[in-house]
Amino acid sequence: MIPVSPELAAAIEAPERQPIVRLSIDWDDNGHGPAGSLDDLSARVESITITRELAGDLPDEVSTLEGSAASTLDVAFGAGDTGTPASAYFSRFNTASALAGKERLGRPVTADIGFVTANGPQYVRRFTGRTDAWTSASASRSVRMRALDLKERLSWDVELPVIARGTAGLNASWITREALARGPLTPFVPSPFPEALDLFVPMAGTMLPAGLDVVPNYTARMIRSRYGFPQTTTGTSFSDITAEPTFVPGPYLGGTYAGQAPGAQAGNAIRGEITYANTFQGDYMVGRVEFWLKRRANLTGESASAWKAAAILPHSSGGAGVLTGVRPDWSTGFGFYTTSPDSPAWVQAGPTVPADGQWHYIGVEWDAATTPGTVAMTFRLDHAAPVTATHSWTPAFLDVQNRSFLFRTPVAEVALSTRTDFNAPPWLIDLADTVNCRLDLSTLELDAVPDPGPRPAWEWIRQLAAAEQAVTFIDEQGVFWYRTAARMASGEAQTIARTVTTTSTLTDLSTDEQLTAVRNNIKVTAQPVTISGALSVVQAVTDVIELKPNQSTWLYWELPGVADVPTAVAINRPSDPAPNTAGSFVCVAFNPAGTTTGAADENLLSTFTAEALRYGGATYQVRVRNNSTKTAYLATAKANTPTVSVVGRKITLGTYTVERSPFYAAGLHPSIRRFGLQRLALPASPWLQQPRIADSLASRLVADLHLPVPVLSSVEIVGDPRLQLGDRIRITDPDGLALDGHYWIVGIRDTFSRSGYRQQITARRAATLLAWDTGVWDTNTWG
Amino acid sequence: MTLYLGRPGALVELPDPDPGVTATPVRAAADHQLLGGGRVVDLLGTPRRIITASWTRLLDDEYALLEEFHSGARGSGPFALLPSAARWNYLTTGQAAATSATANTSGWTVTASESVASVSAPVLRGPRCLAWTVPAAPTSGLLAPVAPGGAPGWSTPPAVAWYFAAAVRASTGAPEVTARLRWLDAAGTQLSISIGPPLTISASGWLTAAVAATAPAGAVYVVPRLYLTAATIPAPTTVYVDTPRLGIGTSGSWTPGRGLPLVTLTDLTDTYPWADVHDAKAVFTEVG
Repeated sequence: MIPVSPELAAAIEAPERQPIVRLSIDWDDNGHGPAGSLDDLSARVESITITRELAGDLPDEVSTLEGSAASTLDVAFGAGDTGTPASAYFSRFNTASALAGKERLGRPVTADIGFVTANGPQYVRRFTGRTDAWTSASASRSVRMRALDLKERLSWDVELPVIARGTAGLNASWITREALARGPLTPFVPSPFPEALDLFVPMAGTMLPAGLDVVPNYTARMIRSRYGFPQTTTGTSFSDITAEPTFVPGPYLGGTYAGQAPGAQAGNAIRGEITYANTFQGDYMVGRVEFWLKRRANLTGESASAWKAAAILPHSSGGAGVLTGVRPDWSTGFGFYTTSPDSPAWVQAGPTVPADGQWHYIGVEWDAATTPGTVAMTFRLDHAAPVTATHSWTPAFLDVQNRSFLFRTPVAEVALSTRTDFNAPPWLIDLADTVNCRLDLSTLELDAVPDPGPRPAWEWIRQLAAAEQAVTFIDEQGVFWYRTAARMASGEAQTIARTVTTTSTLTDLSTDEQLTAVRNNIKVTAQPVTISGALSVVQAVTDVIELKPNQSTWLYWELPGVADVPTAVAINRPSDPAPNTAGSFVCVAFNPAGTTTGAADENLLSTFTAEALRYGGATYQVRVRNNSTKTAYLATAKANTPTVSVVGRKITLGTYTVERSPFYAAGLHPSIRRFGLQRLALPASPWLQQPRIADSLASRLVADLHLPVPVLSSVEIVGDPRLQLGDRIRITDPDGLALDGHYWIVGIRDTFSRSGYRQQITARRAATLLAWDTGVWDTNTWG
Repeated sequence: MTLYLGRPGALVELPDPDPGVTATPVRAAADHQLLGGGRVVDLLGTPRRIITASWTRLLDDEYALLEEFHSGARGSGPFALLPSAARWNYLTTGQAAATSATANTSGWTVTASESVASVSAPVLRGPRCLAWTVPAAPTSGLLAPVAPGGAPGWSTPPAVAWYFAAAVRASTGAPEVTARLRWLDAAGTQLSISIGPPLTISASGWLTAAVAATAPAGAVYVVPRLYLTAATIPAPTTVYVDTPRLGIGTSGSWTPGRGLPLVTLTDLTDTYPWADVHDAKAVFTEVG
C-alpha cells in the first residue's frame, strides 16, 4: 500500500470526494516540466485507465501470490481549456501545434491521481512508463494514447555463460542482477535480504554462498570492476578461493566477515582486497571512488589506524600515495601518505557513516590538477549535499600503479575512476536509475546455468519468478520489484492494507466456482543438473584451417551439448607427442599435412597463442594467433588426433517428477471420490533444479486446491489510489455473499472518467490471519 | 441589462434578452452506489454553466449578430460572456473563496520575496483564508489573482465600470493597503491604473479595501490587485485576505466566484425564420 498523508487518506475515504488527475509527458526527455508547462497535459485528460495484472503459472484458486505483471495506461484526450481539438493538437502533421517537431512515441509519461484535501490537492503516483501508441480520429476530434510500463524496456537480449558448479551457492538472484545490469537498470539493493547476517557476501555477485567460511573468521570475494578492468585476487587468504571457480559472475561485489566474537582476531585477518593490474598505470591527479558500505560494530583489538574501506593509489616509486574512502573512525576521508597507507601524512575528513546498520553510499572525488599546489576534495554520503574541502598538495603528478581497494567491512559496488580521461561523470547516487530495483534473495539454489540463452532480460526474470512462485513487476514509481514468497510471509505483507466493506467502498462483488478448479492430483517436475565430474572431450574437429601470418583467426564450433569448458587452450606442434584429453588443444603446423617442417619452424610455432574467448554453453570460440610471418595451418599428421579438441564438463538436465494427491488413511480421499481425479501439471523449468523444492511445492498446491474454492471474479470499489499489487485486503460482504475473508490483490484497474474514480480488483484468497473479531475463529475457540 | 459577447477587444453588445435568462452551473459528479446502500460521490472539477437567453421580435440585423457567433462568422470561440447587470464575481471559485475551496494558493501570484499560504485562522467567511506574507519594507508588495485562460487580464467592454474589493486584516502593525485596477490594451500593455482609497489595517478586525473605476478608452483587459505601501511595513507582516470579488458595476457584496465565463453558442433557435422579425433562443455552454 502506498503511504499517504493523513489528510489525503481522509479525502480518499470521505463520502464526498474531489478526485483530480495529473498527467505529464516529458516531450524533450529532459525531465517533466512543472504544472502549466507543455509537458503538463492534465487539463486535456478526458479519461484515464491504468491496468496492472499479475499473470503466473498457477491457477487463480491458489492462495499464493505469484506471477509477473505488466501495466498499461490508456488516456483519452480532449480539447481542454484551449479550444484546440485534441486531434489537431497532438497531430504529427500539424506544424502549427505547440508539439510540432516533438516525438510522440517512447516519451516518459507519469500519471498521478489525487484528491483535494484539507491541505490542498495531493497526488499519488499511479503509473510510470513510456508512450507506446497514439490513435487519433478526425471526425470525433479525439485522441487516445497508450503507454506501457518500463517492463517493455527490459527487452535487451541477455546471454549468460554456462556455469557448472560442483559446490553449492549459485543462486538465481545472480541471473536476475546480471540480466538487469546489462540494461539501464542498476540492480543494487542497499538493504539486502535477509538483513540480520553479519557476514555479507551478496549472493547476486558471487556464486559462493553467504555462509561459506573458506578460512576461519574470514571470507571475502572479488568481483569484476565496473569499468571492466582485469583484476586479480591477492593475499594468502584468497588462495583457497581462486582455485575455484574459474568464472566470477560479478559485477560489483565484495564482502568481508564482520561478526567476530569480542576478543577475536581483528585487523588484517578480516581484510578483503581488490587489486588491479598495472594495465592502467598513469597520471591520476583527478579521480573518484564510489561504493556502498555497511558499518559494522568495532572489534576488540581492532587497529586504530586501519581504514575501514579505502582505495589505495600508490605512486610508482618512493612509497607515497593517496588513500580515499572511510577512515578508522568511520568518517569519509582523503589522505596522502609518504610511506604507509596506515600512517597518512595528512587526512581530510568528510561526513561520518551513521552507525545504523544500514547500507550507505560513499563517494570521494579529488582534483589536484585544476589548481596547482591544491587538491580539491568532494565527499558524498547518500543523498546529502556534497561536502567540499581543499588542502595543499605538493606532488606534481601521481603515477599510480597497483591500485587496490581494501575493505574491512562489507562493501558493494565499488566504482573506482582514476582514468586520465575522467571528466566528472554524474555521481552514481544521483543517477535516476541507480537504485531502482528491489530484489529479494531468490530461493532458487542452482547447480548450474544450463541454458545460457540468449533471451530478453524480462523473459529471464519471468522464468525465474515462475520457478519459485515469486512476484515481479515494475511499480507505480517505475521501480522494479522481485518479491519472493518469503517476503509475502513478512509482517508487512501480512498487514491488512484496507478493509473493503459494503458500507464503505464495495460497489460490486461476484464469485466464480467450478468443478474443474479443483485440483487433487498435482504434478511438479524439477530438472536436477548432472555435471560430469571429470573432463572429457566434448568436441573434436578434424578440419584443416589456414592461419594467416601475423594475424589472429577466430574459430567457432557448435558443441553437441551443454558443457562448462575451461579457457585454457594448448598449442600442439607436429613434433610434440600426441596430445592427451586432459585439456583443450589445437594442432598447428606450417603445412596442411600437419607434418614437421624443421626445427626453426617448430620454434616459430611455439610462439603461437590460443585462448577460448567464449567458452561454455553450446558454442565454443577460440582465437589462435599466428605470430610468425608464414602461413600456418590447423593440421595434424598424428593418427586418431583431431586438429581441434575441446575438453569440458558435460552438463545434463535430468527429470524429477513428483505427483501428489491428498492423503487419506482409508482409501481414496473424499476429494477424489467426489470430484474425480482433477490433474494439474506444472511446466518443467530448468531453474527448478532441487527435487526438495518440487516436493514442497506439490504438497502445498494439493493442500491448497483439493477442495472447491470460490474465486472472486470481480471486485468493484470506489477508487483508492493507495492500493497496489500484492496488498492484502479484507473483504466483507455480510449480506450479499456472506463473505469475510482475506485476499491478495493480483490485478487492479483504475478508471478515472466522468463516472468518477473507480477500481476493479482481481483478488486471490490469502490464508486468513487469526485476528480478533475477524471471522469466527475467536468465538469458536473462546466462546 | 446589457449582454456583452465576443473575444477580448471585440466584445459586442447583444440585444437585451427577455426576462427569464437562466444560468445553471452543472456540476460534474459521479456517484458510487455501495452494496450496503450507501453512496460516495466524486465531484469532478469546477461546475460549468449552461446559460440560456431568449429574444422576441428581433430585427434582421439584431438576429444576424447572434447568428454570426453561432455560424462561426465571428471566428472560432470560445467567447467571453459578460452580463452587465448580473452580480457575478468574475474571480474563479478558488480565488473568490480565498483558498477555502481547494485549500491551496493556486490562482494567486506574488513576487519572489513574498509568499502566499492557505490558513484556517483568522477567517471571515468559509474555512480558510489567504495569508500573504511580506518582508519588511517590501519592494513591491503586490498580490494579484491570475487572469483566466492565460490572458493578460479579464476582458472588459469599453466604458464599463468595474469594482474590486477584498476583506483584509494584518497579523501585526498598521500596514496601508490599496485596491487597484490596472487597465491594459490588447497587447497587455498598461494604459492606466485606478487606485482605491488607502486603508490602514491592523490585527484587530477585517476591513474592506475597494476600488471602482470605468474602463478607459482602448482598455481591453482589467487586472485587479492589492498593493501594500512599503513604508508602512517596518517588520515582516502577514496580510490576511478574504472574500475578494471582481464585478461589473461600482460596488457589490461578496458572491462565490465562477470565473469569467468563456462560452460557445451551441444552440440558436429562430422560431419564425422567414419573417422580418425573429423570436430567438440561444444556449451558451461554458467551456474550459
